[in-house]
Amino acid sequence: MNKIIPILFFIVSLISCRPEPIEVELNEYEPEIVVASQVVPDYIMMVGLTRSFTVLSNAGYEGEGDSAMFADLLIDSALVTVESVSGIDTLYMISPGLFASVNELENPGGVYHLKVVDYDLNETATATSIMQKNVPLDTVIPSLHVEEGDTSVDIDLSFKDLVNETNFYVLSVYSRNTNKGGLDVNSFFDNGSNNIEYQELIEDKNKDGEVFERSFNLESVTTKDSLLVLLSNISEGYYNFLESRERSGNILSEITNEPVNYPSNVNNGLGYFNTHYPSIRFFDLRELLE
Amino acid sequence: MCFFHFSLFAQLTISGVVTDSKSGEKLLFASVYNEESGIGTVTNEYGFFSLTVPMDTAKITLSYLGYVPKTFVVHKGNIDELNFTLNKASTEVKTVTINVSRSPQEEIHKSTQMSAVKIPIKDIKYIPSIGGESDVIKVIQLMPGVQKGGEGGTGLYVRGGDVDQNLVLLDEAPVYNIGHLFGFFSVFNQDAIKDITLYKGAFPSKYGGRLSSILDIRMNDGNVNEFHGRGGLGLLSSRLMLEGPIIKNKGSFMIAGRRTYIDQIFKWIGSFLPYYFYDLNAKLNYKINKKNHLYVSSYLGNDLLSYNQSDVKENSRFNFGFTLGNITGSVRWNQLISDRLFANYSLIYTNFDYNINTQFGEEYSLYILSAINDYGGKADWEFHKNQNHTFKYGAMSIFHEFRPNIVNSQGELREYVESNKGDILGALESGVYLQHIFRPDSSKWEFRSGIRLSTANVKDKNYAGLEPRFSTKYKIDSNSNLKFSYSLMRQYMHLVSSSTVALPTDLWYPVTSLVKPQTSHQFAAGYSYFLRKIKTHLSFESYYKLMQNLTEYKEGANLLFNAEFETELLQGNGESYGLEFLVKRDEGRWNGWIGYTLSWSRRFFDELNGGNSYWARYDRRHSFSVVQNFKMSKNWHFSSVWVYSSGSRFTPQTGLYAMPNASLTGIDWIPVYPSRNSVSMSPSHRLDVNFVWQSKETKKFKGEWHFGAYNVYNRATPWRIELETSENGGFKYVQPGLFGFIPSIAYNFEF
Repeated sequence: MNKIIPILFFIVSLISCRPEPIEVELNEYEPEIVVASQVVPDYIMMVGLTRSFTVLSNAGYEGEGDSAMFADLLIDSALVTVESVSGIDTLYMISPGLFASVNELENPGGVYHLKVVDYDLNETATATSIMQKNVPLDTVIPSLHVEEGDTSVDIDLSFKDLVNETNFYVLSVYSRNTNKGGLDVNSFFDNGSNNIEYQELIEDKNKDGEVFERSFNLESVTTKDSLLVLLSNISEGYYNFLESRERSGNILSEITNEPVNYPSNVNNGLGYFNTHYPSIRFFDLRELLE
Repeated sequence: MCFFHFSLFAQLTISGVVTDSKSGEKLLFASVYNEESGIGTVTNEYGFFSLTVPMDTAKITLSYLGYVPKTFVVHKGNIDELNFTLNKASTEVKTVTINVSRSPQEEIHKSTQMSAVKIPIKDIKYIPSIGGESDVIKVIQLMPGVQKGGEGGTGLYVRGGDVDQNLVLLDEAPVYNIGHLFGFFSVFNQDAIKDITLYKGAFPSKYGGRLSSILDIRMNDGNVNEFHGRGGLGLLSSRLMLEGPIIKNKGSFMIAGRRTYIDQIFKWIGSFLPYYFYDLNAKLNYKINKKNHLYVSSYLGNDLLSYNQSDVKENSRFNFGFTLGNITGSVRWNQLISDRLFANYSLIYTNFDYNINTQFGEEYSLYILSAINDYGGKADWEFHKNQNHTFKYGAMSIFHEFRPNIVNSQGELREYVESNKGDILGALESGVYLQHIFRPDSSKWEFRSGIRLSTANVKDKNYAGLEPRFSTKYKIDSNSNLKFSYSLMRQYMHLVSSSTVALPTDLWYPVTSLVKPQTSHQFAAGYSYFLRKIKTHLSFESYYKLMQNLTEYKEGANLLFNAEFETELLQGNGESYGLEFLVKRDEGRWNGWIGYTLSWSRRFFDELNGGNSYWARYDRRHSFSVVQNFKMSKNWHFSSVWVYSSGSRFTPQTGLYAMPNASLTGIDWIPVYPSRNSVSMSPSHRLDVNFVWQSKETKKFKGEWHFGAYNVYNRATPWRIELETSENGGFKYVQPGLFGFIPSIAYNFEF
């Protein structure tokens, strides 16, 4: 009897069939205009423009790192304008996918309307952003520690929240090896070596008008690095966008976390058009050694 | 046992417990009827009834599906001679006596109860299933209003609700995990079960704690007269149930066990599949005296997976262990306080836990444990004032002790998975209720109204709320009724489960000061018709259910190793509505049912899907089932199931785009999804068949062979989505089916 069941089990296994999977019928994916932007204080506004693509094509998904494939996604034939109280500014193309304003567009509280006409897709995307007021970093005190070849920096900083308004901030610290020419926040899509050392999203919920203090330690720096500390007062929408990115930030979270649908303020497009005006502090760690 | 009451107004009250004449098993929901007055009742969940008729001599008929009805005349003088026992009807094809017995579905038709289904255990016995192992939950999934999750799973989605909105009670103890083998088999051994009732709406006031359904399962009491056994040998598992008297006519035991042996089969051929499950049911019952009866019942079940690389060097060894299981226990004391007042007192205990133990070499290890323990007590009274009024009232309290997520990680895993000691969370859930059934004289109306006050006490917060319940029946004629009901339900705990990782690591979590109780308001209206000639019941029901404070998770929420669930939870609303149609015949040579459901279920969460409403994941528009049992001859029996169901919904990733990364010197790839749950999976349909050959029955032994086939025409029932390479070098989403055509053979026996 104790042999009959295994034998029957394998006979049944042999007879059993695996059904053919059924293909999911999806509507054809239409590429969309993707917007990214950055205001460089006392310099210009830059807008990065790319196109999204279907994960079902053979030109993507597994080849995410393919630079030729990425080049195909850059928008290089488009009319890009930003309208504000100062008038309509037509952005010029620095390189495929990267457009910059000729004029300074730094008007805290100002409303900016972006319009992108992609001649290849024959689509138009628009977005509106209000430049939040600049919030200064009141104190930023870096303390360099070098012990037996290990370098670390303690950062203590503070800033005062704006009173009677709901604010959202992003606090970031970048490092760059100064041998390579110092930090350059202009080079969006360069294959440079800026490192993000610290990033924190802060909201002033229940802390309106209070002084915010932060202390943190940066361990992966060297004495040859320069540090850039940025504080940006950002819109709630952009805060949510950054929070979404933070939530899907590592390999484990991509596997285990709930899927994230990134928010966007771009009509008929993706990404985020933001116009925050950051407060910046720059430190050369070599100077702290002295 | 019986009691008798005679008043000046020629009123006769007959009460007692209806039992099987041979085994002494209590017969639940058996009909007790007086034809002259048209007054009748049914036995309750403990077999007790009390019937008052306005006469001093009454002809009473007892009937129960599969038993020979019994009619006798009751008067003051013969009260001590009455014996409320019924004899099982012969299983011979030619037997006609069973055609006059009343089915449980007929009892539902005649009462104010609607949105309920009773499934005779004999129906389950022959319904085809995977591996020849009959499954209670799979049969319930064939009922209108009940949707399944993925293929083969035991998840229940009732009237547009979520999987955690079903309270499953086994002899009154909650069962948190109803599936073995990641949900492919239910934890309920058919041989240990005697009665199953599913309430989808019009909830009796005694029930509370979940929004969408109550599944009340009762175990066999055990034969008080003779020793008997029942069991089965299948390809995947075998089971055995033994029952018999401890003290004849006073006390009995029932013990049932089941185990899979796929691990042993693989071992036998020199291969390795380190998984099995087992479960045990046990029950003792003891009649203390005529008025007091004691029951002790318990369930224990576990899934075990253990993989050890004992032959690999210690520093590169991979070991993995996983256990998941329930333990339930209940002690119940039935007391007949008088011929009109019945009481039940229960003490209950439930434990559900799982633990995962993983070790990579000597340095890395991960241990996860989650548990819930319930300690509770309840008391229920049932007072039959007269033929017009019945009152049911009671109180319950249950303390839930949660250990949501104990995590211990070692080595580099600590960087990703933080250790967490898993603080104990306590929640005290209580309720008191009163229900009144009113049957006005000479009226076509019958009313059932009730109120339940439920409370939950958790850290820093106390919740309380009233739960009104109402249902009514209007008798159009002797065969047809109109019914209407309203129920408010509150739920003080919810399930936290990851939608991205298919692990059976669902966690139950109580309400907190931030996470509010879920509530539902359900309205239902229905028409039921009983075709007396062919003993077939037809019902149409429509319902609308508004659900508030449902829980979902933030996009990007980490649920798997996260002790701070609260911060990841969102609350919003939902609504579901639909039509259900059921034709059911419980008896006769050809019986079965046809069920159809047309339903919609939507969710409204401000923080999800851009604030726009979206379909629930298991929003299936159409569900259709045809289940039939046909006794072909004295020895042959044929059963089949055909099911059709619209596809469940999902959110596929459709695109990708690039954004500058945080360091502003590179790019991140960001996935693009369409609207949440906007894509439907393919509809599925499947035919299962089962032929049963009954060998010659002797007085002491009965055996039957089951020859079945699951998914006869081998069509995939989509259970998940996969991305695979397409013919043009790109990719495509496909929906694989889990099980194709699978023949089965099993042998069941009784002695």
